[in-house]
This record gives sequence, structure tokens and C-alpha cells, in this order.
Amino acid sequence: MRILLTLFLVLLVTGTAAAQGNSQAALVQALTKGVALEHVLTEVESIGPKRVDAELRGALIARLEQLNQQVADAIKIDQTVDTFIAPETLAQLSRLVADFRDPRAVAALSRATYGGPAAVRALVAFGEQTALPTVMKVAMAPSSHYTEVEHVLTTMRVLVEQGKVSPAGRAQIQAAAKARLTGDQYFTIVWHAIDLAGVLKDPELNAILNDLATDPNESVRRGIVNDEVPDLIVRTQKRAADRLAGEPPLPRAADIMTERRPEP
Amino acid sequence: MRLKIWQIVMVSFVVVVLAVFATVTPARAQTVNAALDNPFNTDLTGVFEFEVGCTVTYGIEGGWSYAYIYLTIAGEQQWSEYIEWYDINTKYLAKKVVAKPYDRDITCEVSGNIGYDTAQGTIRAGCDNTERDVIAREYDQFGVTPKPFCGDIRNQSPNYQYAPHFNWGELNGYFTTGNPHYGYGWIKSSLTNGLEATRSNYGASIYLSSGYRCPHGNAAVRGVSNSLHMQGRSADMYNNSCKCWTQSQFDALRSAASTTGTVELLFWTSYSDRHLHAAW
Repeated sequence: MRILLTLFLVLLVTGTAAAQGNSQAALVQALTKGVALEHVLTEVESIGPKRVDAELRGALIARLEQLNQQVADAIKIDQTVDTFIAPETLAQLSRLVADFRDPRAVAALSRATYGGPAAVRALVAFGEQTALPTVMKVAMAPSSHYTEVEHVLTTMRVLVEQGKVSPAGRAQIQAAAKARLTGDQYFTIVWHAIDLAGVLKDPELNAILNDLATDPNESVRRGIVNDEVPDLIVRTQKRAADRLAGEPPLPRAADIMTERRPEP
Repeated sequence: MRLKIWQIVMVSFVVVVLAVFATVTPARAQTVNAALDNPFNTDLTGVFEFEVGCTVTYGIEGGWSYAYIYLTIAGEQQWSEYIEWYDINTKYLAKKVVAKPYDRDITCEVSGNIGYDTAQGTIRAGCDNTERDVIAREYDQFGVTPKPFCGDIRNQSPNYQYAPHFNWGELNGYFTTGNPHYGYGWIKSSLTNGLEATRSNYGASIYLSSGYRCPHGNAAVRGVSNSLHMQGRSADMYNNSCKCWTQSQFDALRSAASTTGTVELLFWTSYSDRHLHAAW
């Protein structure tokens, strides 16, 4: 009787797993056959990110990489994302891929700037060895879009604040902060680089922050002007001063690393 | 062991008698039926407590039978009863239940020695026979989850100051296409907190072009099928009502929002109408 019961349970479990495997294979097929991504994502979310198999994870990571490239290409010709995919779906895909915690997703997540803190949280969780080389490439590449640079500067900031970097890694991050605080930069990049410099507490970077905080021309030298937004220089000065005074940047690292569900 | 002749004859006789009896005697009628009475599958807007009835007809004509009857509401077994009787009988069982919005699946099952039957229905209970119910139905109709509870859907005047710098109308897209249920909407505190923090960082007023969308309204504006607008968590923003701004003005507002714990925050080239979409 006991043997029969055990056999029944084994058959039940393997049968369920096989059925789930089949449905996941069908979702991989759906992705390749052009079924609307939002419908596939709804199905995947109902499975739960932890139960998604390697093949389906790989397919979704590949789709995110492909869409990242499509977005980058569209930006170059000022084509808007909504002409080829719903931007909210893109955000949902990046959140889902981030939740997989699959190291194959590092490249895709390093450029996934749509989904709030989930991608940053995943990259930080991968750690310096796995994530930093790719993150650094995005941070230093002249071709990176400014939202991508903001995203990886925040990732590096959280890595530092979480104490997850070696001295060598810290040196690389300092180099990235310096590079993005130097020369002509979009104002949001400078703001994120200020936040990163603030947590690194490096004397050379602090000197740059001091210059930015005290001299409005330092902002102008970096291409920040009070043109369309009247107080950009004042905001840049205040940000640098706040970081020098030890005020931690927002969002706080602890908040980024804590997955929160919205209140009812 | 060897059987004697008379034993073989006796056994053969019994077998033949049984076979003849089985052939000549007609099969006894059996009935296995479970049925739910009204008000299943009907709208019960405004009714919160009512009686659920289940009629079970079960048994063997001229024979004994037994069975269990179960009533299950929304996956929870409400009661069960054991029946044991002679011949075919009918039993009506009723129980008072509270219909909790929204739809709750009801099952009545009878299962015993002669068979099994089940009847299924749905209590369609509503909130208060207002637009709340209309909105709630849309979540079922469009398959959107999670759906709001009655208390989540508030009814306010559009001018009602729901958050320090945002009134109810603004948060609900001014009750136009995205949410045409005038006065009714679902706004999460994460949205109002996020918007207030963004406004504070930005240092100027924000114009909301879209906030809460009911599922029907979301489809009407071609929103994605699982948009956080339908969870009262998203807003589309500009820095002015003319919806005309530049990329750096957009990015100044995006930057202000980026420090507030957004879960979605899109960029300048996301939408053709250049709105800033954020969700908290």
C-alpha cells in the first residue's frame, strides 16, 4: 500500500512538472512566433519568476536584450518606443527578468532603465565579479544613452553603499565617477555622478564636488545652463553641497534593495 | 481438495439461479443529482446575507444508499452532511451565507455508493448598486488582477483635495475616457505619496494627463492589458496643461521622480505625446 502511494505521488509530481515544462516550452514558442509580449508576460508572472525554467528565462533575457537594442536604435533617429512596443510592457519585462536573478541577464539589465529599482537590485545582488565589468562598460561608453549612464551610476553607488566592492573595483568606480563629472555631460548624468562621488568620499572627487558646489561656472563648463529649466545650475550646486555635507543620495540604497509591495 | 458430485451440482444450481435472476430482474433505477437553487448566476447587488439552497435527489429504487453532501463557497467548505436512506429521496439543504464582493463560486456535491454529481454556480454579489459595481465587473470582464475591493473604490467630488497638491479629478484623469465613472476611482497611497514627493523635489506644480483608469477606459485609450494605471499606481505627467515641453524640462521632472521609489519611470522617447509615465 505504501509503495503504491509513493508511486502515485511520484507520478503526480513528475506529471505536474512535465505539464509545467510543456507550458513553458509553449511560451518560448510564443515568444518566437510573435505572440504579443504582454500576454506572454502575464502567463510567466502567473508561473512565478522562481519557477521559470532556464530555457524560458533565456528567451525572455534575449528578448529584453533585443528590445534594448531596438530602443537604442530608435533613440538615434528620435523614433518613439510606443511605435514598436508599449513602454509599460518593456518596464514589466525588465522587472520580470530582474526577478529571475539569472547572471545571463547582466548585459540586458545594465541597459534596462525602465523598471525602477528592480534592475539595480538584481545587478547589485549579482555582485562586483559578475556585474561590474558590464556596468563599467555602459558607464564609460560614449555611445551610452544618458538614461543608461544614470542607471549604471546608481548601480555602482548602491554597490559601494552596500560595501560590496573590492579596492580594485572601487578604483574602477572612482574612475567612472570622475569621467562622468568631467567634460560636457547631460545634467542628469552629472547629478548621478555627484551622488556616486558623494558615497565614494575620495579626496579628488570631493574637490570636484566642492568646485561644483561653490562655482556656478563649473556647471557651465560641463554644459549645464539655465536655459529651458531655469534653476539647473542652482540645483547642481545644491546637490554637490548636500553630498559633501554627507547627506545620503536618494533613493537610499536600503530602499532600492528592499522589494516593497505598494500599500493597499 | 476434490469436490463431491452433490457439491458441484449445488454450486452449479446457485450460479444458474443467480444468472437467471439477474437476467429477468430489471435494473433498479438510480438517481444521483445535485442542484443549486436561485439566486445563483443572478446579480445580487446590495445583498450581503442570503440563503444558499441545494437540492439533492439520490438513491436506488427499492434499495439502500448512502452519500455525503458538501457545500463549498469560494473554495472553502461551508458544511457537509451524511445521508443514508432507502429508495430515492430528495433532500433540500440550506445555509445562510454572507456574499462577499465580488463573484464567489459555489459548489454543491453529492458523492456516495452509487455515484457522484455536482452543481456549480456563482454568487454575483455587488457593493452598493452604484458605479462601484460597474467598475468591479470590468475587472472580471477584462481579466484584470488584482481587482479592487468595494472599499477601495471611492466616490468623491472631482474638486475634493485628495492629496495636498492633487485633487480627486486630477488623479482620475478628470473622469474622461480613461475613467468615465464620474466621481468613482481607485487611488493607492503609493501613488499620492510618490506624486507629492516628486512635486516637492521638482519645486513646481505638475499636470497629470492620466491617473487611474478603469479596465474599460484603459482599453479605450489603448493602454496595455496589465497597466498599473488600473491598479491606481500610475500617473502620466507634464509640467503644464498645454503638454508642450522640452527634453530637458521632461528630464528635470523625471529626475525629481527618480528619487521617490518609482517602479516604472520612462524616458523622453517612450511616447509619441512625450508624457512622463511613472508608477509607484
